[in-house]
Amino acid sequence: MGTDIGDLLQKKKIELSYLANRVVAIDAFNTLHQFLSIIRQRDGNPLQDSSGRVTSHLSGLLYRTASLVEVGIKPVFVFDGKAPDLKAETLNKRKEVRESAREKWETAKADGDLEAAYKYAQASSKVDQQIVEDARYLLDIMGIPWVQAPSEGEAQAAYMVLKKDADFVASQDYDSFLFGAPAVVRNLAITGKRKLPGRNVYVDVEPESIELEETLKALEINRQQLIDIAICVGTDYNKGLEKVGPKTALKLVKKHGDIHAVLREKKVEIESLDRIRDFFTSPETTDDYELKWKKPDHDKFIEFLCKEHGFSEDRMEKAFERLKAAAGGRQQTLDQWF
Amino acid sequence: MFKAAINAELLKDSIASLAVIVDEVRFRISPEGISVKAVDPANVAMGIFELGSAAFDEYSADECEIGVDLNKITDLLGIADRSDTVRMELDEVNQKLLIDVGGLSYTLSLLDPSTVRAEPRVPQLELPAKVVLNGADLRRAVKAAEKISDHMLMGISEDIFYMEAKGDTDKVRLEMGRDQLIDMKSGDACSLFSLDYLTDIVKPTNKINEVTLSLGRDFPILIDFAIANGAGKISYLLAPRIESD
Repeated sequence: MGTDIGDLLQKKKIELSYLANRVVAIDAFNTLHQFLSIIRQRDGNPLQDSSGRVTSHLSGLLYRTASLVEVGIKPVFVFDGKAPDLKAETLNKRKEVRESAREKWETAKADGDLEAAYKYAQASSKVDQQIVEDARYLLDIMGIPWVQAPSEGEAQAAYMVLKKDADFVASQDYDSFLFGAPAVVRNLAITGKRKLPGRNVYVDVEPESIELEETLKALEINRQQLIDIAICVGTDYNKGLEKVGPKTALKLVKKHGDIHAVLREKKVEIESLDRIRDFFTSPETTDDYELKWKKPDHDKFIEFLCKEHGFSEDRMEKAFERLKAAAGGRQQTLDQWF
Repeated sequence: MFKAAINAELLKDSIASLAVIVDEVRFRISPEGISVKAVDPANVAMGIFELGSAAFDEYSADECEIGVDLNKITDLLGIADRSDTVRMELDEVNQKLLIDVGGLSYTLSLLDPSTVRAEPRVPQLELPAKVVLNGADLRRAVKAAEKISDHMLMGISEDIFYMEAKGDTDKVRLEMGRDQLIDMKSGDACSLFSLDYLTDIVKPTNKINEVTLSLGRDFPILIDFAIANGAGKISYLLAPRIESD
C-alpha cells in the first residue's frame, strides 16, 4: 500500500516518550488494517466474539491507544473518506489479492499448514464498514477524538500537522509526506516484538520519526520532486515506470528536474499525470473537526466490550483504569524545568 | 572523618523526610553539616535537605560522601527512644557506619556512593506567588483532599489562597485569606499536584509552625520548612500534573 520510497527517507529511532504531550494524527485505516492482520490466532483466525464477529481491531485499538495515552501522547484518529476515482484500480487489485488470499487460507487450513494459513489470513484482512463503525464507537467511549477526512485520511492528517493542530502523522505508509506532512512517525501501532512476515523470526520494532524538511535537504530536492519520484516508483493512483525503483527515480528526477522531463526522455506516458500531481499538492481536506480528549465512559465501555463483545470484565476494568488515569491529567517531571 | 551525636527523634524525623522521596541517598558530609539532594525514580519530586552542625550535640567531620540505605536506618531508629542520643562514627576504610543508640551498637554497611543515583541538578524556578502557613493546616487540607481525589489544586485568587480537590461527584475546598496565613505574596498561581506525592511530603509538616509554599501556574511547587530549631532546612520540589479536559 502507498508508495515505496522508504529507502530514501531519513529515519530516526525514537522512544515512545519522545512523543509525550504531542498530538499525533493517526491514519485510522492503516492502523486498523495492521491490527486485523497482526492480531490473530495461530491458525490465522482473527479474534472473535461468541457470535462470530471479529474483535481483533477492538483489542488492538484499546490496548495500543491505552499505552499511547499512558505515556502522555494525545492521539487523534483520522478516517478515510471517499477514495478518489484515481485509486479505483489499486482498490480493485487489493480486493483481488484479498479474495485470492482468502481462498488460499481456506486451503492451507484444510491442509493443516498453519504457517501458510497465518500468512494468507493476514493478507485477507479487510477493514469493512462494521470495523470502522466499531472503531469510531470505541474511540468515542474512550474519550479519544477522531476526524472524518473528506478524501484520503493521510492527506487530512498531513493537513492537520501543517495547520499545527497536530505534531505528527502516524502511518506505516509514506504517502503523507507527498501530502506535505512535516513529520511522520512509523511503527506506533506495532511497537514491540513482531514476527517477520513469512518467516519464523521475531524482531524488535521501535518507533521511528521522519522529518520532511530533513529528508528533502539530504536528497537535495523539493517536495514537488519527491512527489514526482513517488509517481515514477508508483503510487496508489498510478503504476510506476518499468524497472524504476526509488533510487533510480531520485536520479532521474534530479537529472531532468521534473517528471514531465523524465517521461519525455523515456518516451512514456502516465495516465492522469497532472491530476495525480494536483491530488498530492492540494488534496481535499476539511477544517470541520474538534480535537478534545475526554474522560472515558465507564458504563458504555464495559457494556460494549464485555456485554456485547465478550471481553473479560476483569481485564476491561483494568484497561479502563489505565485510560481513566491517563485522561485525568498528566504528571509532569522535574526535568522539564531546566 | 565523621563523628557525631544527635537526638534520636530529630534524626528519625530527618531521615523520614528524605525517605518519602527515595530509599538510597548520598550523604554529603562537610565540617558545616550534612546535606542531601535526592530525586524520586520518576523525576517528579526532589528533596533538598540540609542539617547544620548546630543541630548535633557533638559534631566533627571532614569532607566526605557516603551512600546510605534509609530503610535500614529507619528500622534501627525504630527501637530507639525519642530522647535517646544517637552516636555515629564513620569507619572509612571498611565503609561502615558505627551507630550507638540506647546501649545497642550497630555496624551498618554503607552503599558504594557511585551505585547511588547522583545528586540531581536543581531547576532554577521563578515562582511568582508565595504563601506561608501553619504546617497543620496544610496537612489537614491534603488529608481532606485524599478522601475525594488523587490530586489537588493549589492556587491564589484575589488574595485568597485555596487548596481544592475534585472527585467524580464531590469537591472539597479550603480557602485562607491574609488573616489566616502567616504571610502571602500574591501572584498568578494555579497548579495541580498528585496526592500520591503530596501526602508523603506534608506528613512531617504536622509539627511545623511555618511552611512556605512557592507557586506558579502549571509550575512545580516548592515547599520549604525549617527543622532542628532552625539548624536545618528541607525543601521539596514537586512537578505538577497538567489536566486534560
